[in-house]
Amino acid sequence: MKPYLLSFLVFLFISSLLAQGGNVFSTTSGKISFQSDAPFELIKASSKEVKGLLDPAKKTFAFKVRMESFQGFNSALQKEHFNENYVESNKYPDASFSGKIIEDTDFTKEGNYTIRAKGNFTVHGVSQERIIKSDMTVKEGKINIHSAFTVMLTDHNIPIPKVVKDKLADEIKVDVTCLLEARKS
Amino acid sequence: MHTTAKYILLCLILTFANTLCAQISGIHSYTINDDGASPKILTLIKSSKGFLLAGTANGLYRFDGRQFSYYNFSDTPSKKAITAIAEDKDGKIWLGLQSGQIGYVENKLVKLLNPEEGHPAAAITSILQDASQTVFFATAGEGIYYYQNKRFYNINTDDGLSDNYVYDLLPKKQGVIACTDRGLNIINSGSKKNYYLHLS
Repeated sequence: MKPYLLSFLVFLFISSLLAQGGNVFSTTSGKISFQSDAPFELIKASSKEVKGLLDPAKKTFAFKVRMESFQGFNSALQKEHFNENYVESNKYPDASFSGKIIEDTDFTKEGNYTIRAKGNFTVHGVSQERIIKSDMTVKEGKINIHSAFTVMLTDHNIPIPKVVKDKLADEIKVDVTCLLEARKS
Repeated sequence: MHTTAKYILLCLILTFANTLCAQISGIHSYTINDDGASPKILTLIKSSKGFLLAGTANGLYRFDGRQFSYYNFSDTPSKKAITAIAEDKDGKIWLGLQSGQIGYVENKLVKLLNPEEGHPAAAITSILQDASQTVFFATAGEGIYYYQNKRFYNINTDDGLSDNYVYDLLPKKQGVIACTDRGLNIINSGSKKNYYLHLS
């Protein structure tokens, strides 16, 4: 799928959630971090620019992050390689995850819940259907979501050159934390 | 021989025959008697090795023709009831629990899968491996899950399944047939991770 078409579809999905009104929860400052733990190198990077929407009534959600917003890495050159050679941020500017929550959860009731989000996870322009387990806390009208999951680079056609084989893990650990608040209509 | 004597003889023969029938009856009851408890059997299969495997409210038992033996859990779950059992083509025994957890037998122990995706929250009603070696799990309320390349995937009404309560799975050449209150769902195994639904 072409990257701009994909971004457009995610935009449409988010717009449709907004158009439905009701108690839609959102964030524009969710945190995401990833870690590549290879034999010869540990690479960490994070972003505080996760945008997300959650419609409890329809159990639908959509999250995305701009790939160029990731900070950290072990050097400026490494960040450059990440954007230019691996995730190709110019061609595929966003990573996204959108879909529907499997469980029937009462989002109005305060408490801690474990939910599973089923949807399409897209990185590097390649979508994979995923189920991502998340811990959710509903408190004082806000929803806090924390997810930890892994991403195989091969699942998203991100090649690992032989020269960095021992410096880049096949499986990347990802951690996401978002505090969603009810949107003001 | 007088007619009366013939009737008496016939009655005697029939009486004797009935007695023989009762004596050679093949019905014999075996009861799981584990520390005085007699857990209810929820599902039963015959393994390729000839044993009967019984999923009970207390876990998994094996019957060797004379007695039952219990399979311990490697990690004791809060709910042990086993509602589905299946053996795959490699002889691996898969187990579905009432809690939605999925397990397997290894080294005479029941081990529970702890997948990154979490486990279903609904009881597992049926397990089946298709021709492409993919293992399917039917649930009582969350549709079907399948396990492929160490990941779980879900097929539910959002994907076109006629009902999320799936009673049973039946084999077909490529894929499975899912049985629900709203009809049969023919699920064809396609490419790596795609299954296509054709409702009938």
